Amino acid sequence: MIIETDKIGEDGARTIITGKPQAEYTVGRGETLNLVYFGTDLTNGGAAGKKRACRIVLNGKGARALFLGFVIGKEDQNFVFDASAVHVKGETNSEIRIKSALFGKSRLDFKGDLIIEKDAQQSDTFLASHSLLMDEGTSARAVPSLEILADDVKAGHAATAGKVNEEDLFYLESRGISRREAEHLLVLGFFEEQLQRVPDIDLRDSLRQAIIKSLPF
Amino acid sequence: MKVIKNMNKSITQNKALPDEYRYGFKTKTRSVRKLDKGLNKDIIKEISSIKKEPKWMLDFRLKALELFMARPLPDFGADLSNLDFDNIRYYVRPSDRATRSWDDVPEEIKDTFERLGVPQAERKFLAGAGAQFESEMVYHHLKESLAKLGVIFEDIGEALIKYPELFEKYFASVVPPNDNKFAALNSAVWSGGSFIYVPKGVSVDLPLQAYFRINGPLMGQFERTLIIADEGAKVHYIEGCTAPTYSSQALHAAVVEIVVNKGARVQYTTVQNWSHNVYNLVTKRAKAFADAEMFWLDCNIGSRVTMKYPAVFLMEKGAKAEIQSIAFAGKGQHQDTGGKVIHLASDTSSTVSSRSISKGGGRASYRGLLRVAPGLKNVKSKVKCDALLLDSDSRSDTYPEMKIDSDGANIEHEATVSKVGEEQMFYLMSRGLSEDEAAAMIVNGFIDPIVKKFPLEYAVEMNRLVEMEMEGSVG
Repeated sequence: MIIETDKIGEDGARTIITGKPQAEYTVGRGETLNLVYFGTDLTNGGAAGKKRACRIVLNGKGARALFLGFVIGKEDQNFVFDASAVHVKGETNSEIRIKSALFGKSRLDFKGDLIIEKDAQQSDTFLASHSLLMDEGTSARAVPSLEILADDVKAGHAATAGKVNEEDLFYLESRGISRREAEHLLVLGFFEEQLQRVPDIDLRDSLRQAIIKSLPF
Repeated sequence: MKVIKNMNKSITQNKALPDEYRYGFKTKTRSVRKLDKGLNKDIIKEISSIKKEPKWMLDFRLKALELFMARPLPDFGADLSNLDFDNIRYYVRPSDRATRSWDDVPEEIKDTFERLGVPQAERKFLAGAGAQFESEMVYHHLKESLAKLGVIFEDIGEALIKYPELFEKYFASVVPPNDNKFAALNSAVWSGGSFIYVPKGVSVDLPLQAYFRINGPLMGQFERTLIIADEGAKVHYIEGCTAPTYSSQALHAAVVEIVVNKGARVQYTTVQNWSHNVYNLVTKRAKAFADAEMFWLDCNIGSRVTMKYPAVFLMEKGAKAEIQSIAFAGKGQHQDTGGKVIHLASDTSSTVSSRSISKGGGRASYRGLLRVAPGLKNVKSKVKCDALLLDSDSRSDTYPEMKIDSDGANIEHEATVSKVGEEQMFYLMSRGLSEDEAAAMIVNGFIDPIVKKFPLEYAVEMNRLVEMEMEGSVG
């Protein structure tokens, strides 16, 4: 199953789903880009192993970009990903979000860069990196950087790394769900939150199916 | 209204000083011994022989010099290309020996300290004070009750002679000379600084305090501090810095090493206000063993460039780390600061909190590292950094690095960058505050959660410093 898409929606927004993003995307005045990076061994050519980097340049007033990363790591897969958003013009908006569930000995090395240049006043930017470390021996590295040269902006980032919440597991188990099943549900729930951000309902469905297929249980 | 205010300012301000720098006064001093500028083996041999050091220390210094020469400048952080290592004096001392009584301190030096308020501070709550003026302790005092408990608070050079075994056991055990270029430099030319040993189970209730100053143009200061808290001991050390303003560059490359043994607690508080020409490149690191607690409280206001990342290595189960810092970057300043926590054992926890302010073209960067070694259980960490930007010429960066190699870790990180809200300003000004006062109040409110952790006197001084830095910053 291969998920690769590049299409323009009814609202004119461009949505791309890929395991091999290009090096650079430029978003012009009033344009919207939704870039979904799907990092699993299912994608065409395999997303693991090679370093991937993409840079989104917001080059016109009102440009918007949303980057969503979904990573499922298994065995000794190694995902290295750099994502950056450069705000050149004002009133631009970017979000970079990456969620990963790491199994076996897999690892994620993520570097996110948000740069707001001097003239990009009234821009809004946010970066989030959340990792679930499912097994001993997994590893998550993240460097979420902000470089802010304008003053009238909103910028922030958040990152977490850890296991599935024990209390949530306990709750589900107390309802007669096996531990394995409960973990499965919680991982799906973890991704679902971000899946809701994928703008196209059909794309969202096929991504969800791909995630379910990629999970090692 | 505004015109009159500016006129007053130009009358009271000394034209030689580019920024309003209240503590930028100089005192004429007689230096007993000044070595030539520049750095080579002979200078190091001379430092070591003036200080009558054992052979192992001379060898250590010479080895460190080689490491310093071999290492390149750091490839991250602030621009250090204007640093001219050949144009720095690596050793000066103002008087022959460290003196214990205040009356013995030379008059000019005393004058400088009095203007800084050291004697008052001492009267109030000091347990012991070592004031560093140029490179050596000129004044060293320890309350008798503490000495009876076996607490050692010494000039570090004297500690090397007096307590050779303790010294050799712990010196460079936390920051090895090859750690980074400036730790190597310090290891080669260190002089002055404090040595503190708190024996098992002893709790020092009052903070120990030392004032640091740089005096003398082109004077580098390379103090070295070593604090050892034995099992179950408690100590709080405060360093406060104000320095006279000079036009040529001064370098401050200190190393602070702290060993927090089982069940001990150490707090290290810094109020740093170097003059705006100083390169402040400091390595501060602590090792915390089983159930020990290390707390760095760090405030960086002055200097031209600061690169400082207080670090804690959590070595054994139950160890805790807390790092709280404030950075204020004004015109021409780059504050590259942050904190590092390395979790090397299970059941360890850490909290890092940083607040930075950039104004007038200044640049404040948070640079942090959080590492969790493989195979650990029950590790918790929370990192939070917030930045406030005051104008469009200034810059704020955040570079937090997280390396999590255990599934038994629970890590949270968040950061925000914001500006002073127009509504907030409007509200305060409608209550009769001037623009400057309103901005100062907002900035003070922003750093308040961290300032609250300082001893009262310092908290008051911090608020005053912020008000001073905010003068003429808006409108």
